[in-house]
Amino acid sequence: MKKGKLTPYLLLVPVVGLLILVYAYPLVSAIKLCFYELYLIHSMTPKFIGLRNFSRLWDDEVFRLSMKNSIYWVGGSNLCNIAIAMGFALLANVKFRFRGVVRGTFILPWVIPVVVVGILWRWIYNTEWGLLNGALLSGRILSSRVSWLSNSRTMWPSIILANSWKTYGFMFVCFLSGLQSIPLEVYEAATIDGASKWKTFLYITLPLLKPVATVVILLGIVWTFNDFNMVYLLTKGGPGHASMVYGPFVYMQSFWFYHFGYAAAAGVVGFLMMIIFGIIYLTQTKID
Amino acid sequence: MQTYHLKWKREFLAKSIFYGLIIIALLWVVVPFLWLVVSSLKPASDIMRTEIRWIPKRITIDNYLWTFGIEKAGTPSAHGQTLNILVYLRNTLIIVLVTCVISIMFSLLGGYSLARFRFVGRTSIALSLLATQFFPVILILIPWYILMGKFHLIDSLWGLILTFSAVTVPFSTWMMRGFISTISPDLEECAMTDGCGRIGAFFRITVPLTLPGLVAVMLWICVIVWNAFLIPLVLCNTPRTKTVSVALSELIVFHGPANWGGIMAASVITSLFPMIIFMFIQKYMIGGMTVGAVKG
Repeated sequence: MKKGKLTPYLLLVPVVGLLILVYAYPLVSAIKLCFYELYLIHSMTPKFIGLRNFSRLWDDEVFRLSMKNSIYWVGGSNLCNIAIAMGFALLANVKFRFRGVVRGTFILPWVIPVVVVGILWRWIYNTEWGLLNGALLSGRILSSRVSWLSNSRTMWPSIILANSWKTYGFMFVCFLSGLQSIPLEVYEAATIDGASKWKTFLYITLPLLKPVATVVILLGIVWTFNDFNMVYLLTKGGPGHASMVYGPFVYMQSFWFYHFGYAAAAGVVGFLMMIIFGIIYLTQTKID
Repeated sequence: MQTYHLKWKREFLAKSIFYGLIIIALLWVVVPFLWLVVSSLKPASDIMRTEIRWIPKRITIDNYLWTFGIEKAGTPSAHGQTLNILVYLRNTLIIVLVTCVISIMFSLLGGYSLARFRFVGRTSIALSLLATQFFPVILILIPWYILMGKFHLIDSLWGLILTFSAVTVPFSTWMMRGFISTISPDLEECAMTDGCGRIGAFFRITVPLTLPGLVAVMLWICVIVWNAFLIPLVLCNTPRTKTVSVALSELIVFHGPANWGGIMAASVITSLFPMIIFMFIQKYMIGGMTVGAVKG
């Protein structure tokens, strides 16, 4: 490690410059914008209105619904992702022939463009010609067609399943590398002591995975909450506003209705809610 | 004998359950995408059918022709215009390549600085790289859109390149910092005592040694930028500058008829680029390249 005077700062100028320009400046001006009325259709000049945007948000039923939906969306997606990623990681950690190919295939959906994933699942969930209805009808599991994405009972499970198909890959890779960092001797010792497979998993594997899992789940919560793509592509927050969540709500307020001040206020509320997770994450990180 | 037989039986059972689970897992991953590919090869009359047919009765490339702007005479053009996917692919490719170069250049310098020097503010800069993960892009985009408007960078590929460089630079800097700190500084010092100078040592020792990781990060950035949707949706949505993701998303119809065959052919084409890249970086991804972004 060298001691430098000016060189390290000069090398960091481009990176820090971009961070300030694209993260710090917009964040500060978004917070400022919260207290202004900026309705681009009416006028280009912001008007100071104090806390009025926030009181409007409080009364906005769609915003309240989108916050409530975000709980299902974030909770459901992460539970689903953890279950799939953990199961798949345990499978892929066993030594067998073709393991490399199987591991590769497991993370394939992760690189497919999100728009394609949206189209793909809309096609599978299609009421008339979808694969899901077709399979369930011909297997006589269903007696009539289900509109998976617009039925209020099937909507969230359908969205969450599609989202997990796309996003579990990251958790899978993290869990797998966590599993592989557990030394084999630990398992050998447990077998000698007569622990069953289930007990080994519960008392050895899980506790040793905890550090990786904590970080991955924290990131998962924030990423799902902030996500705009999946819900927008599958339902556009509909039918009506039934599946509205944070990301699409802020997007529609700003880039459909040009209610920039109001959208910024909604965005900042969500950002403040996620800050807690960010702080936990950053305090967990050690930089040598 | 009896016990041996029992043991063999139990092992066989365990093995069958294991492979059964692997097959179910593989089916869940592969079936949705395979269905997309199969559907893209079917003529319209076969696509809109309730029965599930995995092997099309008649294979057609009409859907693919439609995405390239060629509509065969005689096909009912109820779907109106064809898609000019080549224009959107070109836009996307330009953005991807330029962003990639900028992001890697900046992050190589920044990562080197963070890995090799000790200075006031080092920890806070490193932490702020990680903190960007928690920023909601949609919130950032509101003031950013206004600012870009002032500089006439809406509907401009340069505006998009600037934005994407900023979005990808924290990740790549963090990764480069990791790669460079695994190389012993002694190597550079040797080169420097041999009269290389710091810059010479950087290009002759550090860059070549980090090259495999650097290429992997670069390719991963290509995938991220190619697949991005929200940012180009907000900043570039005229036919001239649209990216392929935005063009595809506009084909999703919520009410009324849609040309599903064409949509799915376009989806397959769009997926090719990241899937080819994926084959090269697969082993880095499983090796935990992206995990590096999570670990301290």
